[in-house]
Order: sequence, then C-alpha cells, then structure tokens
Amino acid sequence: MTGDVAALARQIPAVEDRTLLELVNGLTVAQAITADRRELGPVARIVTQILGRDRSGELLTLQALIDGQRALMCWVTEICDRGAITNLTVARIADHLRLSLSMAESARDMATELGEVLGTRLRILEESRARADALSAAEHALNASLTAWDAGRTYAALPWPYQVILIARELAAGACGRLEPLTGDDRYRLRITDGIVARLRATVGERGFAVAEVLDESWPELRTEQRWLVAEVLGIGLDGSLALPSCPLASVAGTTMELAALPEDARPSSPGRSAMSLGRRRQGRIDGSATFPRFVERAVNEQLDAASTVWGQVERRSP
Amino acid sequence: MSDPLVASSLVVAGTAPRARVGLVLAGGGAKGAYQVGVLEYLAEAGVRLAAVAGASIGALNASVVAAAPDLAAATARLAAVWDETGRAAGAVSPGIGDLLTANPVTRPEFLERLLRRHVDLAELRAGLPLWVSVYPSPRPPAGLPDAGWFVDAVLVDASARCQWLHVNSLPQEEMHEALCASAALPFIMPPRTVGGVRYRDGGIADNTPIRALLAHAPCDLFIVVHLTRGILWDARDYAPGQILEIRPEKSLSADGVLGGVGAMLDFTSGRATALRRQGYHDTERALETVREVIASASALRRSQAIMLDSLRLLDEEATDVGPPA
Repeated sequence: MTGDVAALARQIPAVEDRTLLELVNGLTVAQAITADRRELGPVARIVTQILGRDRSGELLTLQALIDGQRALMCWVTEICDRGAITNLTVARIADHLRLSLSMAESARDMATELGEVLGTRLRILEESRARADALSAAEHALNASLTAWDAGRTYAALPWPYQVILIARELAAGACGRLEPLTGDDRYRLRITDGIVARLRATVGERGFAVAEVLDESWPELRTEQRWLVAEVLGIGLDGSLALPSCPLASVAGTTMELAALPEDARPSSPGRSAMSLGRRRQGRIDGSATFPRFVERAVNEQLDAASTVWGQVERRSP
Repeated sequence: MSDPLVASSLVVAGTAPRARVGLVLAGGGAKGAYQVGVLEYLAEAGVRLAAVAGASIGALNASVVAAAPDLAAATARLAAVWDETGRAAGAVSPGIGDLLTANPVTRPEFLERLLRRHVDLAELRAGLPLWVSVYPSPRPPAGLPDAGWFVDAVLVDASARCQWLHVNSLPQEEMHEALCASAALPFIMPPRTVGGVRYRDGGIADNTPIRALLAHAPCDLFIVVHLTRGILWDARDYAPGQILEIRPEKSLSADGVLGGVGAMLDFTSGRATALRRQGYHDTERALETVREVIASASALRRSQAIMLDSLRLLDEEATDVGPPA
C-alpha cells in the first residue's frame, strides 16, 4: 500500500544543490550591486551612466533576481509536492487509526459481552455457593439441634407439644430459618418436620386430637414457674414491636401456659380451651384439631414463615 | 561554525566529502587583506582546496596559500605577510600623493623581498596548482625609454590577451618573476620577464582568473573572492562552473572620487585588520547561508524518506493484523 505514495515521492524532481547555491549567490550579487549603485555619488553616477556600467549593473541584478526567482519556484514546487506526500501519508495513517479504533471498539464490545457473561456466571456461582453454604449450615444446625434433643439435653422436661413448638422455633431462629429466604426453596421444611415426627411418633402415635385438650393435658406436668418460663420463651408478654410475626399455634400454647401459671383461684378451668378462644379472637380462624404429624407440620410452618418474614424485613432495611 | 564535512564538500555538493574546491582571488591592492579573513573562515570551516588562481594582490596571496601545507598554515603565513606590510606602511593612512612617492610598500624591492621571505619556491612547486594572470607588456622600440603601463596599452598588439601562468611548472627564478609580474601594480611596479615575455599586472585584463581553473583544473566548486563589492562579474559567463562568490557586504573603497585608488594603496595595519575581520564575516555569512539552505533541503528529503519507511512498516503490520471481525 505504501508503494503508491513512495512511487509518487520518487517522481518529485529534487532541486539540485547547484540550483540552491545559485539562488543564494544570485541574492548576494543583487544585494552587492544594488548597494553599490545606491551609494554612488552624483559624479560617479553620471560617469557610470555614460560608460553604460549602470545599465549593465541593472541588467546583472535583474538577471540574478530572475534566476533566483526561477530557482525559488523550483524549490517551492518541490516543497509543495513533498507537502502533498506528507498529506497522503497523514491520510494513510488516519486510515490506520480508524481501523485501529474500529478494532479497539470491537475488542471493547467483546470485552463487555465477555464481562457480562462472566458476571452472570460469577453471580450464579456465588448464589450456588451461598445456597450450598446455607444448606450446609442448615444441615449442621438441624443435626446439632436434633442430636441434642435426642440426647435429652434440650426440652426433656417439657410436654411433647411444647417440645415440638420449641424445637421448631429453635431451628427457625438459626441456619434452617435462613435457608428458605436465601434459596426460595421451602422443601427443607419437610425435612425438619420429618426429623421431628420421627423422634416422637412412637411416643405420641398417629391419633387425632383436639389441640386445646392436648395443651390442657400438658400444663399440669409443669410447675408454676416452669409454666411462666415456657410462656415467656414463647413470647407471651413481649411488646408488640419485639413479638414475632403471627404464630397462632405457638401463641395459643404460650397463652395456655400463661393462664395456667395464674393462681388457682384466678386460673380458668381449662386454660387450653381459653387460650384457643382468645387466639381465635385475636388472629381469626385457628384449626382446633390435628394429628400428630399435622401438629408438627403446622408448628414448623408457622415458625419458618415467621423467620422468612423477619429476614425479609432485615434485608429491606439493609443498604 | 558549520560542520566541516558540509562546508568543505561545499556545502554545495553536500554529499561529496571529497569535493574539489578551487579558489580564485581577485586583485585589488591593499584591499587584499580582506582575503586573509576569507581564508581564515574557510580554514575553520575545514575547506580543502584543490587549486588556486589569483590576479595582482590576489596572486601574491594565492602564492602563499599554494605553498602552505594546508589552509590553516596558509592563513597564519598570510597574517604574517600582512602584519609585516602594515608595519612597513606605518600607522597613518597617507594621502594620495604620498602613496605613490613616500609609501615604502609600493616600492618594487619591498614586494620582491616580501615574496622571497614568505614564499618558499620549493614548497610552491610541490604545492597546490597555482595560476596567476599576467598582461603582456611589449618592449619599447629600440632607442626609446620604457614608457610605462599606460603606453603598453597602446603599443600592445590589439589581439594580445591576458595570459595565465602555471607557476608551479616554471623554472624556479621565473616562478618568482611570474608572481612579481602579476602583482606589478600599474604605474608603480616595473614589468617582469617570464619566458622571454614582459608582463605586467594581470588585474589589468583579467582580475578574476577563474578561466584558468576552468581550463586546467576542473573543480566541483569555485569560491571566487572579489575585492570590489559592485563588480559587474557574472558567474553565468563561466558555466558549467559551480560558483560561490564572496563579495564585500560593505564597500572596501574609501569615500570620495579617488576613494577606490586610496583603498588600493592603504596598507596600514589598522586598515588591514578591519578588512580581515570583514572578510571573515562576509565569508561566514555566505557559506552559512548556503549551508543552511542546502541542509534544509536535505533534511526535508531525508525526513520524508524516514516517514515513508515508517509508513511502509505500518502498512505491513496492518496487513498482518487484517481488518476487524
């Protein structure tokens, strides 16, 4: 491609050094003769005119200037021609620059596209990792809680309905409760429910029962201070701003213990039934009957629902 | 100071470091001190001469140049010649009348002794080729006294022309006579005989003997040193010679009708020093101007070649890369 410009450059006739020398020399001659003529006195001027030297000097000066102009014309022509070569070269370089810009733009677009793909992949990986971490943490928490429960280190002194509600609350308050808001997957609830049911099925059986009756069978097993303690653990008496979102079953169970902890003369005859009535007045319909697996499922669901609600509130407040 | 390479190759040939440079020194009496300054600058610029020619005082200066081993030595010797001349002439410029009668420098024996002291004829024979212009001077008819130069012009054969003597090839004693003949100022110096022919000052008919070099010593460049600013000398008459003229930027003549004559005969030291300084500056100006112009043209062409070379590399690389996808 350069060949065409180089070929044009080769066609430019170079002004000979000799011509440039004559240009300078002619200027010297013209200057010298003109200065001499200018400084002639009146007599000398007349003499030179008579002898014709003045005319000769004038012609020599003019010829030197004419030759100089001709040389200058050649030189200017060469400079202009070489200027044109420079312009062509600049144009060629501009083409290269445009091409480079185009290539840079393509590369930038590709880089952006690649960045987006990588970003998506990274986000997916990050989410997968977060889900895996959350699942691992939930699994660890579930095993730890159930193992401790199995070993009788937790809730052993409590009647089974309260054990179910409190172990469900414990799991929902930890990593198991965090899993569902992170993954949007509620299938882990079944694993929790199954884990609890499996541990108490032999004790409780599959029979159906009225929830209020089961609660009323439970509170006499505890002393008054234990009843207060269980009621408080279940959030009875907490200010509204501190209370967990609606957990009807846990609320009825807690209210049962609260009523049961009252002095005998102030205690309703059937705290469980009273608590169920109060709960229905506060929260609307509450299913009063259940089987054991269904009871566990309800306890787990309402605790995990509450955990999801709380995590949602936390995330909305986070910057 | 320009770089010697460019200056010596004449600046002109620019790319020919071994360019042959011929020097032509015009006559002009005492104004010849101007040529010492010219030579001083040429020596500093590293110019190497191939041949030299001179007329009248230019012949005297040229003989010193031709006999010297190089221009620097020639400049030193010429400075000594002109210092000695200045001392002999005294400190005060004499009047026109005194110039012809009382000035010791204008006596023939002074010139002869000066030449013998400062120009070694053996060195001159082995030195640069030297031509001097001389003017034939016929012998007066038998029984008549020598009537002098102004009668020569009448008696000489109308077809007689100025001649150039190749000094280096003359018999030794005639070398000296030839130099004295060319420098034999009209009215003042007697004619000299060389090869049986009487000659007077060559400046009478050829004060700028460049034709001698054109005919016998072709050069790439001729540097012609004039001693008259407005001389009607046309370099185009000497084609195809490539000529650079050194002309005094300021007239070397004194004011007045006889200023030209006075300047030719004023050999005082002060005047010689001023002329020498002017010769140096005028030569510097002329050569530097030429050097700048030619260097500028050369730089333009070289830079364009570099530019095109870079463009070629860019084109080749662009071809390798190809267009964007």
